[in-house]
Amino acid sequence: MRKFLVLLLLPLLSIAEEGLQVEVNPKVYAPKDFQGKGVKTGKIPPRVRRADRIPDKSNREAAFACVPGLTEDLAKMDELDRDIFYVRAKTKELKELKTLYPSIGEKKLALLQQKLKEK
Amino acid sequence: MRLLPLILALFMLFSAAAHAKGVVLMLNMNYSSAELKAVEEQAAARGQRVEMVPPKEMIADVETLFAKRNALQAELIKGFPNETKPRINSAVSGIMRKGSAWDGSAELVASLGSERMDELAELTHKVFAQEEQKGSLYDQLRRKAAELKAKGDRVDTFVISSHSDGSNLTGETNNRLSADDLARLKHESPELFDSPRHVLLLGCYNLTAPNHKVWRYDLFPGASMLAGFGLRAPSRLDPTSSDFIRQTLSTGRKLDGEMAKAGRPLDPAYVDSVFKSLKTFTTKDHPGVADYCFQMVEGQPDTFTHDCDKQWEDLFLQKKKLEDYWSLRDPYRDPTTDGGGNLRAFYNALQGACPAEDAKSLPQEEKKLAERFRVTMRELVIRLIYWWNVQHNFSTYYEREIRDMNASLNHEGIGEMPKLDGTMSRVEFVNAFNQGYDLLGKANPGLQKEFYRLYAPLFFLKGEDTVAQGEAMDVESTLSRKAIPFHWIEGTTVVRKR
Repeated sequence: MRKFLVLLLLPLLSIAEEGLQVEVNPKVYAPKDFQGKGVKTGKIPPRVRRADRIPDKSNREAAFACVPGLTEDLAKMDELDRDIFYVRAKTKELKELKTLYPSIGEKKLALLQQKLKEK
Repeated sequence: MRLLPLILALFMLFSAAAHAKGVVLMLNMNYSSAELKAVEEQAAARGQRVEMVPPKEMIADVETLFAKRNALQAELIKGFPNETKPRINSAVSGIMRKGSAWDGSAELVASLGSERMDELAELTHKVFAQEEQKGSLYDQLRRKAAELKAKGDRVDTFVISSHSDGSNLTGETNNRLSADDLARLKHESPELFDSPRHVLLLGCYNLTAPNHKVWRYDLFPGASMLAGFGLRAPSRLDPTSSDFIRQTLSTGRKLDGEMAKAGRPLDPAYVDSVFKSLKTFTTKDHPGVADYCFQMVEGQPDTFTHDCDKQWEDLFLQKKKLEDYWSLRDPYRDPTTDGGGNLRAFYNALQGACPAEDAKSLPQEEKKLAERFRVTMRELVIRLIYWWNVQHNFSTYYEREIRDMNASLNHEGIGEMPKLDGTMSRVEFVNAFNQGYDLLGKANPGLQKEFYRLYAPLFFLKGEDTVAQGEAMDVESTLSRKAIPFHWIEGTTVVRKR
């Protein structure tokens, strides 16, 4: 399969006088297989999950459970609202979070933000 | 304890005196006379009357039609044992639509005779014509809400009988009511949803965990009792269904009375035992689920959790059903402006589903893919739900580029892209993008590339859950990967152009 792909790329390599760049997933292909005249090869860097991504449900609920009384405050929220609350708690200032969730006490919000930073 | 004031407020609000002029509203999408009878008995015990949508006078014709259809199906299954059931059903459906003009099978036509086929088609067309005349269920419910309001009546109990995937409701004729319709109705006629004390959801999957949340928190937050089914509901032709109506409504009434008398919430263990003692509640095939004053009672243990396979099967099915929203070539539905409708329900189902690892029917190598599917879909769906904020933030950020692009498009004689002012339809935007891209391909390929680069993030609405190692997690790098920054789902996050 790998050889087949290299063969497919050969015509491209021949017209790549100005500098063709090929980036490959190193777990699948070896960059050297794509080397040729005027071709710059490289590895696609591995992807990492963002800190402010939408959480997995279990991680999210574990974080909420770290703050006494918070789970009860959030009982009426559905999955979507809980996710948004989680991401906001990770990314917004406490002052803004307080305005957005006035019914949740400041202490709980601050504690949640602290727990999320520790994670 | 935090629920105590709410519960007390609920029972004060729904106390007997407050319901002197209450009515029972039944959305009877399959015109079941047996279920209606059960509802009428319960209404009579409460001294209330039943209002039905669609109107009761249609029941006779529709039940005659269904009886003839079912008889024909049974006869064909017996007479043509080599035919599969789906083919028989398809033949019956063809005959209902076309009568003797249906020509799917000469042998079958010969056995039935044209007169009988035409009779069934005539009856079908009569029912469809009546439904068309009454208008959509959405319109009928809006009219009913206005009518009740004019009379000073309030809905005390809402019974919904239909087929359901958990959030969208369908009937066996042309009756349809989507989750979006329900969300719109809730917005336009809130009294239909805010006042019912008891709600029965007689369709399948309405009370699975994620769907239950939508019915409870988005639609009927004030009800003291929601009852229905976590998995498959019994057929309306099965007496279990009518008995379920009788037993749950009388139980809800009894518990409300006891709570009012006690002046405090009832002991959860007692509530649990009352529901579980109901014969129709603990059946093997259709275990009931009740949500009484925020306490969940399931007719059998593990109603929600034992069927992880089913949850994933439903997710894939729902994804397909909602294709109208995220098809990039041919979308024709816009997200609702009031919080998500069935997109929200799908999001909740995605996030609420069990780990793919626990789904036994998924091959091992597909489990990782299934989790990837969950991540990708929720990233897309959340941006779709908040499409109205996303487009506004996008147009603010790219104000200068959009202005320049429109000037170039005008120069090419193509016209401008729709104005993304926070009210622009997603469907219209995607269609304009597709059209602009195609036209530029012929007129100016260089400009086509710029056009694509500019609008692609808004077109694809991808998420940003991963970044390349070492890559900045900023807006620019997110947009360069055709993704939309998460915080753009917030209103007016971007206050000035870049």
